[in-house]
Amino acid sequence: MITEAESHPLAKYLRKGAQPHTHCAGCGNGIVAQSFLRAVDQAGIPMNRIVCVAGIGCSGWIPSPFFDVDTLHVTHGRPIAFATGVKLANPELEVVVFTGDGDCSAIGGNHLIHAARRNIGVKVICVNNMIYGMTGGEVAPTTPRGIRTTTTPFGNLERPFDLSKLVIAAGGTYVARWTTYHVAGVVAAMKEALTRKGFSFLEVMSQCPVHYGRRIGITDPVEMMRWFQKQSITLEKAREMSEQELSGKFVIGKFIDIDVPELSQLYAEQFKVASRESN
Amino acid sequence: MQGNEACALGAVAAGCRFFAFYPITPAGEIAEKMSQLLPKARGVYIQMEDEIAAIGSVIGASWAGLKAMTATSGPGFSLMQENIGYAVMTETPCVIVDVQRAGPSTGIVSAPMQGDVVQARHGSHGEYAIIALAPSSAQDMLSMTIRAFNLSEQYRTPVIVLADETVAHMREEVVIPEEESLRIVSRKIPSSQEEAARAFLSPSVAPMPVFGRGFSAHVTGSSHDEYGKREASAPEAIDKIVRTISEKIESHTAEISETEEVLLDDARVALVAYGSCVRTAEYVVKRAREKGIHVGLLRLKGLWPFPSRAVSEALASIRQVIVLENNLGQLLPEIERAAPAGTETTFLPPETIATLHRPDYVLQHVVEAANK
Amino acid sequence: MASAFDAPKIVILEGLCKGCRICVEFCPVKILKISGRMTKKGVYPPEVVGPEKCTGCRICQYYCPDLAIYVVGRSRTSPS
Repeated sequence: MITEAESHPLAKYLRKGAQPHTHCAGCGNGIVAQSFLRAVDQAGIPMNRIVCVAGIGCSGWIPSPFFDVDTLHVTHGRPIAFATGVKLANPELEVVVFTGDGDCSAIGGNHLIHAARRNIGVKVICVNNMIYGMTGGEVAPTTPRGIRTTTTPFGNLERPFDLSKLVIAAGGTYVARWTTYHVAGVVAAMKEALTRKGFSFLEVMSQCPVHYGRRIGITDPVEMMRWFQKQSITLEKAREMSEQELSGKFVIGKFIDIDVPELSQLYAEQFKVASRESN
Repeated sequence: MQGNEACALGAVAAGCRFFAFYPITPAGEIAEKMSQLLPKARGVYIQMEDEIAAIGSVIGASWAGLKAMTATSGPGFSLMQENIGYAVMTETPCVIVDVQRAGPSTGIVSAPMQGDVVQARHGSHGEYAIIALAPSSAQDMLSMTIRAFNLSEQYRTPVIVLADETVAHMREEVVIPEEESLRIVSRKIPSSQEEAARAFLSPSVAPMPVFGRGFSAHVTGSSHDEYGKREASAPEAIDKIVRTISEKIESHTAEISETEEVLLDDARVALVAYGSCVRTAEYVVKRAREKGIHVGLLRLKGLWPFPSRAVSEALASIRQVIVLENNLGQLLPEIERAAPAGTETTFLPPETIATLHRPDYVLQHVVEAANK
Repeated sequence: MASAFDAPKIVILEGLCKGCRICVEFCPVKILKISGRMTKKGVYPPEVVGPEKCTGCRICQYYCPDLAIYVVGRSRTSPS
């Protein structure tokens, strides 16, 4: 007898016994998780070709153990480095990294900028909740100035990264930002990332009502998503606004999407050259 | 041929098709040679942004099905420890060549030292076991690298080739074995979904569910069960992991860690040495024998798991043991513990650490020991 | 077999629901309400009030972080 759980249209992508996942009620990670499965489904990527590489942090628990695909849950900050090895070893694989803002831009920052520079065909889904959620709410490189967190009790003195700008500057050939409110945009961007060859970076602003939301006085996930809606400015509109007007806003959309030879393809071409040169 | 070059040849002969590196002296020549050899063998040479990424990408490549290696020296080896622990925890085959140099810290980049011996055993946090081999010649750099790959595949573990600057940079005659004569071991791949599901914690080493074959492997550095399912609240789970992983290696010490006995049968004095110290020891034994002194050499080829039983047996009738190490006694406690009760053990570092032992200096101590 | 004119049916998997209320608040026709029943997990799941008004937009389904709600049947606005 098929239970109703097995009839969810995305049930086939889930590991048996992995539900419910361990994210908090209303956590944006769950929305990112479902969006990814919808994108995979729509793009028709076979599951046995997908490898998910997860960092440490709440976002790492999106694919692990939830998705029924080859999963590599690695050390903090390093999923992009591990993923680079996976992709180069078997370029046929669709290698997707799930990482958080702290995981990929603090401890993992070096790997992020080099992967973008190399244009290795790894797809990075960066879930940005502007805080270190898993460890209790410490300030992150993406936390806005002035916010009081567990480790900035008198207010954050530092300026935050604009992660999308960072990756563009590092040479990212596909960079987009959406929020969990804008699921259609998230799914569409994931599909684009999954069906193109080069390095792809998708930043998803995601609600952490328990740690970040509390800091800005919004403890309800619904209210945080409405806040994302209000604070989001499309790329087109943002072009006509000043730095000051954009302060505290999230510019959403696709920033760059260009065709540059992907690294594992370049290796394949070089193999041919090298084998000719040996004789 | 240079030791480092021989290491690269050995790696490729063993089937290595992924090599990630971050530049560091004195391991550079391994990388240069790999960067020339691998593309012709359709293997990937990549220079990563740091040593942490080097070992990380090696582990990723291993899970995607390739035999993978990195090479470094002390400072890089220190950086790699977290991910080495990850490879241990996830039972990932991979080879790490550590060409030890004088430390701590930046130290002297091109001077020999054996300061990473304890680090090779316990450099990562947590409780675990690991394999480390100590080459003493350029030939060893080739053959022990092949052996390192075989052991890593057989036991699904990272294996450290603990070279030192002298062995890495020395140039001597190297015999390149015929491909047909080589014994190459590769990881077992599961033959069914069922077999693939139980991917971890088998004392007889579970088949490895490499990616891309539909096995849906779940690989995590968190505490887990034999299915790779995270078990992060039960101490019993981590107890099982710690004991199983350690036993997997330690219970096979005799097969894993080789020793070599030179002229010990009629000896009352013995030198114990590994790595570049072996070369001095061999020469001292020859000179001492010419003087009529019954001295022999116990050469340690595998350092971890420490071959206690082989050492005990080899030193059974030895009265005076002189341990040569280019450090302040890192393997010494293990040797002392394994030496028979009636044996006196003396530790003899070089007069100047970070140089090779002066043969006359060692010979002097051998003569003194023989006269006791 | 469902025809293009059958009302979409909302399936709620109460065992997976964490009571976050995202589906309730974002339903454009406001037919999801928090029920008064507590599940054995201590959660008050949503229930459907006025199912015939469901347009099959699937906003509830797509937003649910726990894949605890989904819609069977065609959307009213989509052609056959």
